[in-house]
Amino acid sequence: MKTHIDHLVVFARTLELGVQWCEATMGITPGPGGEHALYGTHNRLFKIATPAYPMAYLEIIAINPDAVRAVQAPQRRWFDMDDAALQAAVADAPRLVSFVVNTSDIQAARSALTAQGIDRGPVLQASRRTRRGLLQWQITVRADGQRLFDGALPTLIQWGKTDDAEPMRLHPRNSLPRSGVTLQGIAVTHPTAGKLQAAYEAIGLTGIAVESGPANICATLHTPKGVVKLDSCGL
Amino acid sequence: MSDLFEKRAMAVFTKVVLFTDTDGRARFREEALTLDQGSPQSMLSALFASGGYQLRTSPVGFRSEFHCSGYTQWVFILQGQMEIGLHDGVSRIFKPGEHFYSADLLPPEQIFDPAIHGHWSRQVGPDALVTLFVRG
Repeated sequence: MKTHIDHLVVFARTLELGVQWCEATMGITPGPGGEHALYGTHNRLFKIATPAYPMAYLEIIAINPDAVRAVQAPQRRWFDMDDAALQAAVADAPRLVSFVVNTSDIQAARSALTAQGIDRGPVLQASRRTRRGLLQWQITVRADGQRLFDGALPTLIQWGKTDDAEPMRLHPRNSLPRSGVTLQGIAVTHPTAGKLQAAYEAIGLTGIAVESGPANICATLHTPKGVVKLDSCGL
Repeated sequence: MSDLFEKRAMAVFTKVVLFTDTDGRARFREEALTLDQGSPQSMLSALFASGGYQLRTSPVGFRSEFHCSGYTQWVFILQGQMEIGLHDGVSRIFKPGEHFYSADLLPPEQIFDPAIHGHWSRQVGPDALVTLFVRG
C-alpha cells in the first residue's frame, strides 16, 4: 500500500475570500476548481508539488451558497464544515484545517485504521466533470463529517475508478500549472501523538514529523512572498 | 535583496508591511516604494524621516508571546531567520537581507487582548538572530 500527501485543505468562509486570502498571503491566484454536488461545496486549486511531494496541491474549499443539495445528501458536510466553532474561526480568515492522502488501496488503508480503533468513515464514490473528462475518486467521509484528531488524521482518497488502469491520469495535479508555491514540509503536534503516529504507520504514511503538544498542523511553503507557514492552531 | 526590485525599470522597492487591520488584527501587505530620485546608476527613494536605529540579537530558541510594536519601525534581518506569526495561523519567515516594516500598533484607546491583537516572533534555524531596527 502506497500512501502520499495528496492535498492540503484550507477552509474559507467564501471562495472569493479564499482567493483574496491566497493572493495576499502567498502572492498567487489559485487555479480553477470545481463543485461537489453531494456536499454543496466548491473549491479552487493550485499545485504545490515538489520531488518530495510529487502529487501535492492545495485546495481552498468553501460552502457553495448557490448549491442545491439533493434530498439524499449527507446531513453534515466533509471536513467539519458544518461545525459552528470551525465556521466562526474561518469567518475572520481562511485556515488550514486538514489534509488528504492518496492511497493505492483505500479499503486496505481504511481497514488498517479500523484495526487501530479509528473509524475513518465509509468509502464514498465521487466525481466531477473537468475539461479533460470525468474525474472520479473514492474518499472516506464520516457520516458526522468529522475530521478526527483535530484535522491531523488525513482523509483517505483513491483516484480513478476501482478498476482504472491509469488511476492518476486525471489527478488535479496533472492539469494544474506550476503556481510558484511549493510544499516544503508538514509537521504535526497533537496531545495523542503516539496514537496518531501509529495511525500514520498503519496506512503507510511517512515523512510527517509528529510530536506531542497542542493540536496543530503546520505546512511550510515556499511562495513568491518568501517562506510562509500555515498553522491550523488546533481548529 | 535584489528580488525586491523590479528588473525592468529598477525603480520600485517592495516594502513588506506588518499592519493592524480595521478589525484590530495584524496582517501583512506589500507596498511599492518608487525609486524616482538619484541617477539611473543609483536610483533612490525619497528621503524619509527616522527616529533612530537599534541593533538587536536574540539567541537560538527565542520566541515571544503575542505583542504589538511600540513604534512603527523597519526591521532588517542581518543574520539568522525571524518568523512572524499572526492570529489567523499564517506566519512568514524572513531571511538575511529581507525586511518588514512593523506598523502593528495597538489601536488607540484599546486594551491589549492577546486573543485579537498583535503578532508573535521567533528565531528560526541554527543561527542567532541579528536585526537592525530603524524607527520611522
